[in-house]
Amino acid sequence: MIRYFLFLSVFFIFTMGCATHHYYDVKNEELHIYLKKPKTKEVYLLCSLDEYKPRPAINTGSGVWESVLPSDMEFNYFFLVDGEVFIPACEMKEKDDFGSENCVYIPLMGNQ
Amino acid sequence: MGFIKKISLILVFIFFLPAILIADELDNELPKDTPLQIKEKARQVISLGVENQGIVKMTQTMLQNRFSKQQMLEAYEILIDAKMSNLPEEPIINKMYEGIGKRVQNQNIIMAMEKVHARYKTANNIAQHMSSDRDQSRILTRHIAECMTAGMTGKDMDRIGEMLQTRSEGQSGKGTAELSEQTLKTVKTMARMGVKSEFAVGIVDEALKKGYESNKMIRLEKAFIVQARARSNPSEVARLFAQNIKAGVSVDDLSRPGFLNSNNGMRNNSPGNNFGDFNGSGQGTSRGSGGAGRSGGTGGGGGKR
Repeated sequence: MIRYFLFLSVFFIFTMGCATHHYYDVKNEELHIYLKKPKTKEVYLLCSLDEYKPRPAINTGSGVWESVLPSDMEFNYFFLVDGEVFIPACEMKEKDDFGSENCVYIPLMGNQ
Repeated sequence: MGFIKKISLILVFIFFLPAILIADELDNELPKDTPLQIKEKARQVISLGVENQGIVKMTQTMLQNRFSKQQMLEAYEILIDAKMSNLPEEPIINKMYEGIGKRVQNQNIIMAMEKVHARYKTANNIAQHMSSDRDQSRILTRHIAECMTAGMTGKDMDRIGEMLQTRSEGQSGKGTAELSEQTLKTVKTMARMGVKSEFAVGIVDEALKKGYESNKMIRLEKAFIVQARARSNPSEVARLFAQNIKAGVSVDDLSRPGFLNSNNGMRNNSPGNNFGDFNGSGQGTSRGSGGAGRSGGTGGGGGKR
């Protein structure tokens, strides 16, 4: 019985961890940033390209939110998910001077 | 006499015209009840060469977000100090917008702006030792500051600066400038991918000893991205890179997928490090590559409102 609960707990923690995915794709010189956040009402992306004005992300279905940005420019960014700051796991990061971090995109990453 | 008077009047008018225009713009675009002291400080910042519209917008934003008069004056003082030291004001102003976007308390935003300024000051000191050319020094300052934002320590950036200086002795200006710039870009990328400061210095040390030029540094940066994407511990990848460069392995070999697996082991790639399980799969996209990497989480700290 204990083993069963242990297994369930591990499974629950594992699936919770997988609930968020963050990835991107370069199409026609545009950078498409995706954030998988099911059960979310609104997602905004804020980035250094435009003084961190909230850009509404589009829900493409099944909890995947999409933002489109230029692929040839370096910038840092973060998300507002239902009004809360959200910094996903991302390949490149930097400190933000507020005790947290920002994700960073550099054009070189898009060439991979 | 009348002619001299006319000329004098015209000269006075031309001399004060920009100030009159600034005054008009500030008076027109800021709320009527904006304290005089704020307007005066804003004018002072503009007179030092900061873009008029940028300061008007910054002031409007601070007023909208209920910065206190004292906080606004502190923000202007940081900008004045930056301009007087020939440092860029843009990263400082951007930090304010970022803080507002993150809903950080106003006082913590001012503190963060001060941190950015301090970082650029340190970076500028290092850059000035690296290049006497003003434009080049400005470029290097930005790269050094961004390396520090990514996690490099000032001390290690100083060491890298010294290495590049040593390397540049007796070499042509253009080649040196390109090498310095590209080396800093490579360091920045490694630090952003999670490489600890001392490991990034290790790679640069070995690469410069092996006579890397800027084009090899570009390839090194790309090779590092390729290998770090396939591994969970970027600092370990950096350590192996340094080891391999020292042993004479070419940068082309380093960029070969799987090279570190086949020849050089990742023997010490201990589980349970601070990084996530990035596998570079792109999550089903054709060229996507950004997936999970370093540990994520909600934006903490900073005293949220």
